[in-house]
Amino acid sequence: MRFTLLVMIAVTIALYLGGWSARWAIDHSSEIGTVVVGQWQATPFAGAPDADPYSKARLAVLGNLTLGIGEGIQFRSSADEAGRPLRRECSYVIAGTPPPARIFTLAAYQPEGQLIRPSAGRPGWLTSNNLMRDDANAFKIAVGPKATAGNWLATSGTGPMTLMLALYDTPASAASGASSLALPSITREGCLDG
Amino acid sequence: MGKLALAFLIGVVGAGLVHIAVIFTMPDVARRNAWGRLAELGKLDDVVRVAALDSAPDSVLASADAPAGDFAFVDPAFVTAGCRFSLTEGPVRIRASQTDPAFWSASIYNRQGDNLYSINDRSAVENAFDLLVGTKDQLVDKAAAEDEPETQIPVEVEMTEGYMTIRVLVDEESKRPAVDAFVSSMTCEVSPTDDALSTNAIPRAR
Repeated sequence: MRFTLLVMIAVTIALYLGGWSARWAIDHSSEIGTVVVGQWQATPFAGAPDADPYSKARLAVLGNLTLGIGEGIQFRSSADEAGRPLRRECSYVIAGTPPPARIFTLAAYQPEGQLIRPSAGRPGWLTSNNLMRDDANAFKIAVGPKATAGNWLATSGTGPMTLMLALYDTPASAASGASSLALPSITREGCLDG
Repeated sequence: MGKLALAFLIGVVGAGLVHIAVIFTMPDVARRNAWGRLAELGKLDDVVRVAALDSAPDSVLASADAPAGDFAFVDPAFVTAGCRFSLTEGPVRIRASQTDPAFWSASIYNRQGDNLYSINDRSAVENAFDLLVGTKDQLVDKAAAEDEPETQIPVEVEMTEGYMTIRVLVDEESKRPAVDAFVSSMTCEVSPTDDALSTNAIPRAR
């Protein structure tokens, strides 16, 4: 009787602690295989056949459609240059030079990945083909709920947001190239009250 | 008391084993992985479109229950489509009967979500999206049995089930009808080698 009880204790600990730690690792292992460039993070190895087991498990749980290794790379950011979390009610300026990619796109999402779709007629995403650039080929994109001249990515509502900068057909999608990229900076301009 | 400590110790060691086992089996048993979510959208060999998850304008609360086939962080600048296929009945031909001048990029994954092959409009022959996906043996049989179209690209993979995704750029709204037509013209279909010509009966040296 006593022995059975001890076995049950051991088995219970094994199952619960093992299961809980696996779940915790999957939820918190997002740093594994992450490349950080400025405020932007990417997981270039997501979906790679030789990715580490934690990344594979994480991908299986998230169920995202990853970009193939040769297709491109998706950078996400949820903080500005000063480290403050990005907010939907705030205005930001994203400035930089185009990264080496055939196409890049910028869009705003909720942290869980739902697209933030502004009211009708407002630009909810931008592609590099339609960006206005200055003489030095640099661009400035205004992100925020207030309409702005030039490149403008509209947001709406309140709450946290995640920006995604996706580079397609880029030499940087190879694992070695991602960390040496120069990506645009995110600067906060101001926030709407309320 | 010592036995209780031993039981705890065995429990902790067992927890490590369970942890490792869970992590390694997750890609195979997860039901809501990309394959599972594509399955919610359509049958095997159906070309389905993946829409970006929306948050209604000015709504703060996202709906808690996820709709069928929800994929996070889908790029709204692209029309995204995909199909699941099985290689058990022969190689699968994935093609679009139209060509599209815009940028597109496609990938082949196995069921677990490992990316095995990628192609875009520049690396395709004459801009045509035309892939023949199969195992090595299937592709050899197919090539021996019939002349393949010039634009067709054989893709050799080692798997039995997988899925394809393609992203087609819509950089201006006026281009959307053309992109829609391109995506609508896509098919994923099993294209078995003709039995009469099949060399299955003859064992082939590997």
